[in-house]
Amino acid sequence: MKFFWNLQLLECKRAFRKLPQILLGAVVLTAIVGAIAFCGQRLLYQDPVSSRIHIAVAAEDSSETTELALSFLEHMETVASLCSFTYTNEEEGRQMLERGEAAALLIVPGNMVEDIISGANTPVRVILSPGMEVSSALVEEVTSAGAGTLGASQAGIYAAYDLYSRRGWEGELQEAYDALNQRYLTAALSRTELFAGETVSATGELTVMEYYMAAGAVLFLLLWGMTCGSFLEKDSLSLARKLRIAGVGGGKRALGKCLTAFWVLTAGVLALALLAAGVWTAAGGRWPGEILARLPMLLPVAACSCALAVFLYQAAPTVGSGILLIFLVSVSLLFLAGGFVPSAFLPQSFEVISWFLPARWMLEAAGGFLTGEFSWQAAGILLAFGALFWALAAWLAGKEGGR
Amino acid sequence: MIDAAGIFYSYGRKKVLEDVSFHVEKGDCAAIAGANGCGKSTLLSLLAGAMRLQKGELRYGGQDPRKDSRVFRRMLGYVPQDNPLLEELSVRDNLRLWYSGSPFSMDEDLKSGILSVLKLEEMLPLTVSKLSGGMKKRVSIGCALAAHPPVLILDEPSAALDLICKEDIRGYLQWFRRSGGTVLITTHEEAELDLCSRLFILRKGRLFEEDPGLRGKSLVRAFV
Repeated sequence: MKFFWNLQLLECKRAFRKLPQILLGAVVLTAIVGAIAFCGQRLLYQDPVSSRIHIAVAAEDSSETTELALSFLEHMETVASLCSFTYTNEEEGRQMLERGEAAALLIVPGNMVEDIISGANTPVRVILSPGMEVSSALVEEVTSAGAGTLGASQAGIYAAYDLYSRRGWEGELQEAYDALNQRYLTAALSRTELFAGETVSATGELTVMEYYMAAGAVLFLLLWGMTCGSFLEKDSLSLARKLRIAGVGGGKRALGKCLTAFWVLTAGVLALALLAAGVWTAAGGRWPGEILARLPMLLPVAACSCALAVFLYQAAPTVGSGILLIFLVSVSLLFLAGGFVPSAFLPQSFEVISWFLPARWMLEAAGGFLTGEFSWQAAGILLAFGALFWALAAWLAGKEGGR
Repeated sequence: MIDAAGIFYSYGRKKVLEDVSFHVEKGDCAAIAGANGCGKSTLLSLLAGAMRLQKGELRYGGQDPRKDSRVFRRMLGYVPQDNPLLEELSVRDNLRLWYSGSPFSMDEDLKSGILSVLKLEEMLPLTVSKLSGGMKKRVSIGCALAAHPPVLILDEPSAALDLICKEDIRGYLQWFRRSGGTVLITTHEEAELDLCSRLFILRKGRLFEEDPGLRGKSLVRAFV
């Protein structure tokens, strides 16, 4: 064992000599990871206002009741989330349709509100733009829904009138109108009140920011191996054979490389974290002692990613191909585990596959680091994956040496 | 000193060694020659314990290394064809590693032992990757002899070295033999064959002992 630990000591010396280059590589990785996270966030959560449908509204008269009704319509929850109104006259509205500036033109008749109250129901004319099929279809859907709601409300009022009149309850009719109006207005103006509230997020219990920070941390830890090729590359055949004679076979050698990678990664992450904390504090922020104290929660992730990197370098014929392999495997694993696009947006099969991937548990552990809730299950599974990768690396190292 | 009997080795279906048997006495310098790809390096790797025997028996000084793998470490120093060094580290670090598995002192050997013969002291602080091929070979021999083994196994030690380096290596081998060591070497160099008291030719997976004075066309004919 003395020989093995001396070899470990020298391996660490060899690795720590490369630490400045490794940290430089890590900074570049951080920039890449940050850019990916930022792009992902922008892609998924675009400003909804930019995708609203523009509608031109031309009122044939400008009575106070019509303006009030249009204002109600514009601010209805279902309409406001989809459409923006531009008030104009009919001629200008038609020109807007031709220029593609509006998806539809609503021509509101004079005395619209009075006609609704009297039951005449003069219709609002809707002219759709021929060049904007999707937007126009949405407008048609929204106006049909509006007309349907109005029709149902009127039918309710008339039914109450008929019923109360036949039964001779005219004295209670106003009370019934008030109750019906309240119900229909509630349904029309704030439809969410009709449903039980439940918030469903594609990112689970994490906020979007936390989710992408966790995904970024995992990608960083997975890609870290790319910077360690100089000391994780597989041994020359002659060195492997000499070490085997000295009692350091494939298993011990792979374990030694995993340990070296783990020490270097731990030291590097700690150095970067302290540097970032120092910069944050110097810029006027509070010393992030609580977050720094949670760093040990990432140790299972680090152990698993180190073992994976050792295995991939052992599987690759050269250092260069090992680096490429780590990149491809890391990005693929994280994608399948929903690290770039949350798995809620991916096919159902991806969700099933992700249970068998280390990246899924890495995301959970990294999420736990951000929220302060350590997951023993994720830690156990990650250590099991680490052991599996070590065993595969040991097998390859032993096979390579001729046994 | 070295007894091998019925050694067999195959890579899948390709048989490389079939029933290789030989005996080498203490103080002998035995050369193993043969055509390229005939299995010389495989045979030396098996003898050095770097590869596992598939069939056959092997004894060093009467001890069976399959029963106790430490026999390999105690009894022999192995210098493979490519240098088994940690390139990014210094010569001192490389030597220190191999001396950590040995009961002998590196400092003593630098003063008066094999390391002084190999003239390694001036190279100690240098990084291995910056050394020439000949210097690396000297360091490799130094590492192999850290445990003061009685047997030295070298796989083509002069390959790709210049004439001065080849002459140096012959000098170290002569010194090792004079110190009572046994040498087993694979080589294509006639000058190295001159050092040897025994000559074995590996042909079609079998080992044949020939006249150690065999040279030139007669030697080439013996390969076929």
